[in-house]
Amino acid sequence: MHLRGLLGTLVPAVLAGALVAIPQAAQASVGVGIQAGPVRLSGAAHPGQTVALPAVSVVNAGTQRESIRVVVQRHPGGGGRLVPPSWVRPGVPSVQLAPHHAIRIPLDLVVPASAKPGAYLSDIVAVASGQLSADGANLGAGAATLLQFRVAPDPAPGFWWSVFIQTLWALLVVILLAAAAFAVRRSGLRIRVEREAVRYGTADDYGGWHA
Amino acid sequence: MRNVLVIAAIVVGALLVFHAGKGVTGKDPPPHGHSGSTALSLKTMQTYRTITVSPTTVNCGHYKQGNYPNKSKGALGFPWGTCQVGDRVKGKDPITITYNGMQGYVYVHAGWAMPNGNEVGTPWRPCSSAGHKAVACTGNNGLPGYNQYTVRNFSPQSPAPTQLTGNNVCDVNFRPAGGCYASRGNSQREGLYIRGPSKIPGTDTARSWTAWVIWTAEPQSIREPKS
Repeated sequence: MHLRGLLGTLVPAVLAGALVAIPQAAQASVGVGIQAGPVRLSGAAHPGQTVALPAVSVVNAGTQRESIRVVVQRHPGGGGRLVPPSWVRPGVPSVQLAPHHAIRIPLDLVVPASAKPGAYLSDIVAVASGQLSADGANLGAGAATLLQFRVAPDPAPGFWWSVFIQTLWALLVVILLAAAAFAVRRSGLRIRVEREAVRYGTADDYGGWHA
Repeated sequence: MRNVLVIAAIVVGALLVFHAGKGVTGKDPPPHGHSGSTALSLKTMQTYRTITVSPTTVNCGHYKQGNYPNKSKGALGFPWGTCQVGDRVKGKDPITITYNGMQGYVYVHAGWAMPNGNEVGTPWRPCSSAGHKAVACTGNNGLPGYNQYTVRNFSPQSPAPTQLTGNNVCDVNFRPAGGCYASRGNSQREGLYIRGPSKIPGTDTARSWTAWVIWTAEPQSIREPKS
């Protein structure tokens, strides 16, 4: 009788818990979002340069905690030069985000010295993976935004600026030296170098000298 | 000589101005007066492009094909065993894909099928029966070859299943009437058909595998930026 009473209490509670848990499990989803606006570098990058791209915002749009990583992929629509994935380095390899939480991931653009000039276009894709299952198929979600930048044909602007400044300094030194030399000359100070002429004779056949 | 001195003065002046300019800073104006404030809250449109897939995992069932003794109703057979997630004919489409945010497209691709846990096995790569040679199926009649598999997806409105590859392609089943175009709140139910490889190496001991299918929210195409 006591056991029956206990079961009578527990079974409804277990059933109620199961009814709550089953819909939650059925509604579990993996989801990800990324900023709609493109990641665009203002100005041009130069071969051999590393520049910071604007950080990209990503969000966990699913119902579970997710690991989100950012990768570079070819944009299906094409257009522009493809961005090799190795050129873009996220600040972190992946981030763990709770549902509906967002984060900004910093990005660095590493342009090799051999980069061809022109307009580059690819996708930055945030890829989410939730809890992995064993057996069957895992379903994933990704969200992409455009990555756009230009590579200029010339070296970095700092190079020509430094050449200009160094030339200016060299010119200044030359002018100062010239001015100093002129001032010394005007002041009357002269260093006289006299050279005494020595007459050399020629030896004759008899060992004597002739003037 | 006077000219030389004038030039020297100009150059020195230019350098001094250049260096002095580096150190110029402006101060913030001092705070003054009194002010009152009120909090104003407002909502904005969603500026993210998001996609959600539910559930996160599905099990393959209805195992068919394969040749005796490599044939079973409870596991994928060889060669070219099949299984399915949902049933297009019976209208069962257990996977729900939902797009939100700024308008764009839904793309889809398949990943490698990997052996589970610590099991030993060579990954199966998704292949295409009639696609690019780089991802073509190498088996007979366009069927998967050694360590290859195919994935096809379908939706209630699609006239026929569509084969997926490892390359991101427009998911024409997401919106059969309008390609894969998607706008805020669009959603679709889909299912999968999977066909396994022609054979696997004798050294592979894995008995359970997990395949990947990934849906991606893509931005709209743009014109090529001017270089």
